[in-house]
Amino acid sequence: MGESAPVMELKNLYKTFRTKAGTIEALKNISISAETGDILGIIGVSGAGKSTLVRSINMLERPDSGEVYISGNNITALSEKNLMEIRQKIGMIFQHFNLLKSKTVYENIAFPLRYLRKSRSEISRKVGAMLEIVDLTDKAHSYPSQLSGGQKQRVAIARALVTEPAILLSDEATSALDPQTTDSILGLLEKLNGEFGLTVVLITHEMDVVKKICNKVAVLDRGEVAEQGTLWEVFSNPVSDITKKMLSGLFKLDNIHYILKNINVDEIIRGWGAIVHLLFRGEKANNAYIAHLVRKFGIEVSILYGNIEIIQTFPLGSLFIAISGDREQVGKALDFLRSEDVGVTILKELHDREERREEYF
Amino acid sequence: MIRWAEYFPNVVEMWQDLLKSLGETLVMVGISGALSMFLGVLLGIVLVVSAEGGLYENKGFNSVTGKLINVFRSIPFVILIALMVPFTRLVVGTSIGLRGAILPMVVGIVPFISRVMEQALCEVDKGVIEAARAMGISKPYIVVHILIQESLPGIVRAVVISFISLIGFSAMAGAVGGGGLGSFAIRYGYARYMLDITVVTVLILLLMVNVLQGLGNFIAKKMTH
Repeated sequence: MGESAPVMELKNLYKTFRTKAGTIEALKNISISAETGDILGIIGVSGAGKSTLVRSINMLERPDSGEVYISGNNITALSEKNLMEIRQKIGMIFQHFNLLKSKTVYENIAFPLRYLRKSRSEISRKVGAMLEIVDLTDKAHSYPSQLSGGQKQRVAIARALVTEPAILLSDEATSALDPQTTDSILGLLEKLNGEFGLTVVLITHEMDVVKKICNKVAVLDRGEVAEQGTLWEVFSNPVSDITKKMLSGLFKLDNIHYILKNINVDEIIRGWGAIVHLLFRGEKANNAYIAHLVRKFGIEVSILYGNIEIIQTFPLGSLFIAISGDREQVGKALDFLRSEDVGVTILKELHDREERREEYF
Repeated sequence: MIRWAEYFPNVVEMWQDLLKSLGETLVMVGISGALSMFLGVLLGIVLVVSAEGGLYENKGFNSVTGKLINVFRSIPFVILIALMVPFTRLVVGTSIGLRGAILPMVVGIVPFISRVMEQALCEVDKGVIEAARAMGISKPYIVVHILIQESLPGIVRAVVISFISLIGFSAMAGAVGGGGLGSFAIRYGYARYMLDITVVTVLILLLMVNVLQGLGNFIAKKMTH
């Protein structure tokens, strides 16, 4: 296992479940990898196969075919006994925390160490250190039922990391938490990633979670990888419909639909027009394109809504406009934007009263 | 000052017999209880781990065991005692008295205990077991340190319920020659119309059940966090 081997690599994974209702292809030809220090987000709607995927990384769910490599070692064919050793090097946290109710915070974190028959002093030292990292030293002797959701997840993180695994799998770990607590848990994961080089594979259905801490993302759709790459690549140039749909929350597409429902089209459209979503990537976000369009093509542009997201330190500008005028000129204007590497998505074509009448006749 | 002799003439006269019967009941319930708790907990664990999605999933085995338990559970205890006479004789040499009563009591109560244990063990969150599997912890360790330990309050409650049922069984076993409070109440209270004997027996049983339940609740509460 060389230095360059990815810490986690999935190759051509397939998994099919047979149920009374028929067969479900949970994983179809999945190939994803994560390097040391990556925070890889695997995002998909429910039923996309995320849970099956994350469980195949530690072989809780055996794939029908394909291989799973951990630090360069193929673990797909390992016996249950050897798998147990591998699993000790892969931490995992869950949506519902899964803490032991009958044990204190301290004993929950100590649990995997006790199983490994570590000495009392080693356990005390390691648990103490983890408690400090997750900022729960004062709760050491509380029971899980006395903790808040965020605190429970911190305990789960401490328990998952006390054996010093190379990877942390997070299965919807923030989905049961409120936005503020989600931020603090994500902040903790980011800190662990920064300070200890912990690789995190994070399963979620929330684009916001991916946006906040991931450097890589894979979009899962009905058991297949719809697209994957660095966060910037996928966010700034979404190709698949499912990715665009999932990003719509980030760009607040809902607002546009609301605005469209409540404006008088005839007031903003002259001749032929369209509602267009523009994505300005990186430094392009700073250019004065709109003024240029109006001047050069003699068309009208109304700005409906816009925002800028910072993705991996790069600005990503999103702008919704109503563009209208001579049909040919509008087409030229959009082509110009495309040639400037601005993302152009036509959401809706519009016609003013004149054009509608012409069409009628 | 209550004039005991006036209200409970027979009890006052036969208090030594009553104490002896109480002792017999305690011995019957104690021995058969200890044996059947052990077997019942074991069987309960077997049922839970062999069930669908369990640690040692084995649907065929689980279904056969479950059906066998149902068969024994559906036989009324009085009939079970009669049905078991040849077997009881074979194993302990007699089918009457204390010795004859214990075996049918065990066979009668184990299926019941295994079901209440199954219920108690089912309370353990599947996610917690999955988390332990993800940590690379062995299945036997999970059974002992998670499955059993996490459901201890439920197990205690199940044990109490089972012991209370056993007290009932012991009275029935008494009626067919097993000795103990049941046989005492039948022989004197019922056969000789000594109503005070029946009343006092009932009061003693009532006390036993209440003490047991109270103790169980207290322990279970202490264990719940």
